[in-house]
Amino acid sequence: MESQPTRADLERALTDPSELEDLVARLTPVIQARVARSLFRRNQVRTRSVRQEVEDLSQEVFVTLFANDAKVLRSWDPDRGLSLANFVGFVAERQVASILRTGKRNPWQEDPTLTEELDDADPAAGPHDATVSRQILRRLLDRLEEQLSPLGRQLFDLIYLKERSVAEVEGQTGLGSDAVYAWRSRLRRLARRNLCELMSESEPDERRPEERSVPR
Amino acid sequence: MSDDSLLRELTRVAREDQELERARLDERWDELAAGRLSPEDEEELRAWAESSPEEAAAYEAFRPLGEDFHARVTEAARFQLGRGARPAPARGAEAPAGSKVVDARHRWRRWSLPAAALAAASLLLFLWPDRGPAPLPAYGLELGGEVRTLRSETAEPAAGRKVFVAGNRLRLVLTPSVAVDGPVAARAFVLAAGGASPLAAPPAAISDQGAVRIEGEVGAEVRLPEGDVVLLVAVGRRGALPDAGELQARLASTDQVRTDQWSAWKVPLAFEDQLEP
Repeated sequence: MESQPTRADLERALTDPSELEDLVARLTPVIQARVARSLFRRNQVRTRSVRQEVEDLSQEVFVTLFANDAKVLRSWDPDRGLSLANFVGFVAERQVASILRTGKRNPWQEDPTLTEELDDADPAAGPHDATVSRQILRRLLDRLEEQLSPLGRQLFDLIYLKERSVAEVEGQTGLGSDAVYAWRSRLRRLARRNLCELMSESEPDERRPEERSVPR
Repeated sequence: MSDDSLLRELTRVAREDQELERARLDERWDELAAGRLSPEDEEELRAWAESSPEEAAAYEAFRPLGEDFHARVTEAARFQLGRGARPAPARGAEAPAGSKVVDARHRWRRWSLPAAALAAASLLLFLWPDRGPAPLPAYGLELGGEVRTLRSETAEPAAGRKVFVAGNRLRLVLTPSVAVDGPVAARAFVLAAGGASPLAAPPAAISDQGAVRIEGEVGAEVRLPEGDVVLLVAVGRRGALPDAGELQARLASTDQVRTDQWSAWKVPLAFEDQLEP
């Protein structure tokens, strides 16, 4: 298999038993690293059993990838600009986020949103507070990590973290400008909806910002 | 807070988190996991890992999972893709008492009991592969919508026959004790003198977690013969459900049967064309 596998490489690995172990060996490091980073980022590391936690969670990710005739793995579309490694990495992060929050395995059964079909329902009215604590924002990021498909994660990264222009996002993902704008709106609505939920779930102390205020 | 402000702050926190993470766990850790570190870098990380339990935990978390892990996952994946035999038992499963080698099952349970309690068939298959497809969990059956319940001929009132009349909304619900991994199907038959025939009712609604609901208006969507009726109801793995004949035979002398792949019930009820005063 080439260093950057193609869709054909993936299909061959899924159908040729002799290539499957190569695929697993190739994917294991990225899954392991994303799992480990997710645990450390959430301060969920139990020093005495961290290796077992990483191994168990990595196994969980593989279970998800190969379930239902490798449905999740086969949903990777290289034309969207995500390498197989990054796609699998997003899957790993999403699964770890969900398992750590809910204790339930296999979040794909509850919310198998692999494509760009997100809930478009309008969110409830936003909170009255003009400021949001870092803790709430951190939890909001965790929620987004759990809920977004790999494509959603990629677009959040490109549009907001890397601040790419619409034209650049189009070029990298193969999406049309309408789709990019639609995604931008969806991401905003998803963030808003989750913020409303978090604010209603949180204690008053949690909502108080520790750092600078955010203007309305 | 406006949406623009929210996304701005969210982005700021995300970037700060990324910077903190990279400062603490730089790219060398990913290279460690990939087995691509130079001997010098690996030695440096190993030495750093000895400085505190937290650093040691990082080293353990990123140290390559190794060929045993690859082989186990590959074997399980081959089986899941239908291209291989059932994998061999997980390493350590035969470890003698007192051994430090931990059975994968125990490791999984120790990490997260709720997740283990809800362990899906596919994970059980990978870690306990000698058992074949995971057993179907126990199901509970509820029948509702009746107008009254006749007193049972036995001493147990709970076993009374439920009476339905035309216009009632019959609701038959089968609920698994835990979420079921994989597709399930359901069948219902009406047992009459001539044998069992499929229950005339709307198609069963089956949730992602394996719960089943058969529901409809009696006399319109759900057709029942008048008088005492016996329903034979089964839920199980798709492709593993017994046919009417087997159901009838298995439920001849009992009200419920449960196997690894399906569960079935014999449900007595009555249908009256019109409600007696």
